[in-house]
Formats: sequence, C-alpha cells, structure tokens
Amino acid sequence: MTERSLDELGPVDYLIVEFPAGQQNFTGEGADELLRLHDAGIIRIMDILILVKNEDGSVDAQELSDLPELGDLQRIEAQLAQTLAEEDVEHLAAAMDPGSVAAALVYENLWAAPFASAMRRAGGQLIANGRIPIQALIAAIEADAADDTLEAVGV
Amino acid sequence: MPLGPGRRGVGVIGAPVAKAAVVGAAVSPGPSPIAKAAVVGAAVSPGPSPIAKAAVVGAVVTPGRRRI
Repeated sequence: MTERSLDELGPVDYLIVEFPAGQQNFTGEGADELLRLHDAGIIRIMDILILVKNEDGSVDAQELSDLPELGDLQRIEAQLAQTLAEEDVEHLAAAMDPGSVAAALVYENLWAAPFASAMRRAGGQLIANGRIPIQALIAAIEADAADDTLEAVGV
Repeated sequence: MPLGPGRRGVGVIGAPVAKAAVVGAAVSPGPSPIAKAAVVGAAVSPGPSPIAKAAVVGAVVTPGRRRI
C-alpha cells in the first residue's frame, strides 16, 4: 500500500468462487478479468488463496506462489497483503462442498473509496450493507408486474 | 499444505461462511425471460412493466415506484 491513509481506504470485500468437482474448466479468462479490474483501478486485489476441500472434509490452502503456472497473476503476487489468516481458511471452507476447489479473494473497492471517505468526513457511519440476490429482484419485478395486471383488469 | 508465517495472525472472517444461493440458476431460461433479462441488464425493451425494468438496469430514475 502506498501513502494512502486508513481514512482513504475503500470498502474491503471478500468473495469465494467455488468450482464443483467435474465442472472445472480453467482457461485463465477469470484471472485476466480480475487483473483487468485491478489494473483499471476499480479494485485492489489484497489477497488470494486457493482452497481445496477434500472428500473427508479437510481443507488444503495454497498460496498463489504454490501454483505451478501463475501466468499474469505473477505480477500481483508480491503485492498481496495476506489479509486472510490461517483461522479464516476453515471459516471460508465451511461453504464449500467436498471435492471442490475455490478461490478466496479479498479486495478493496477503489471505485468506492472517495465516496466512502466523503461520507466519513460528513460524519456518516456505515451501519449496514449487503448484496441483493438476483432472485429477489426477479421476484419483486414479477410481483409488480402481477399487481399491474390485476389493476389493469380492475381487480 | 501449511500456510506461511504471514498467515498466523488474527482472522478477519470471524465465523463460518454459509453458502450463498447460486445465481446462475436465476438467469437461465424460464417462465419470465423478460424480467430476468431486465435484471441482468440485457433488455430494456417495452413490456408490461417498463418502468420497473428500467429502474433495475439503471437506465432511468423514475419516481413513484417505491413499494412501501
């Protein structure tokens, strides 16, 4: 990290992408897209771990540097902050199915940093955030459409 | 494979993570393709609820559709 202060830090998120057994088709496209977001300054990749959940439920964690072919990810490997600790691995892997592989990613939302800083300077505090499932959006739209239909026929 | 000494600090996740709903199933073809397309931003074509669709894809900000 450069001279940015904590007050200038954008929101930090994590995500886990699971690749179930038998559905793994690694072409490097995902890594390319991730690097594109990083290079464009939209996010800052802070940490990446590769998790493998064995059939007996045990979990192996690998650093990027443990991978035989890093490709372009090699150029960010040295910049990672190792945000995730050993005790996080079990917590993250709890969502995985046995036999699957997952990438755990921690990243700073650089795009949101100026807005977040402005909110803090204005005295604001983040009291809730989250992601709205697409299923919930679809359900809301469909409910609205159904209501409109009923209103149109005078029910 | 054991992780290195840099991973021996305090964790940041805090509790076991629950699996989220799989999003891919929601955008597969089904009975309401127009609504689904609106959510993923693929369609802003006219339909029974264009205002709601446009609001979801961010094309317009139309007042009066708050469902309270």
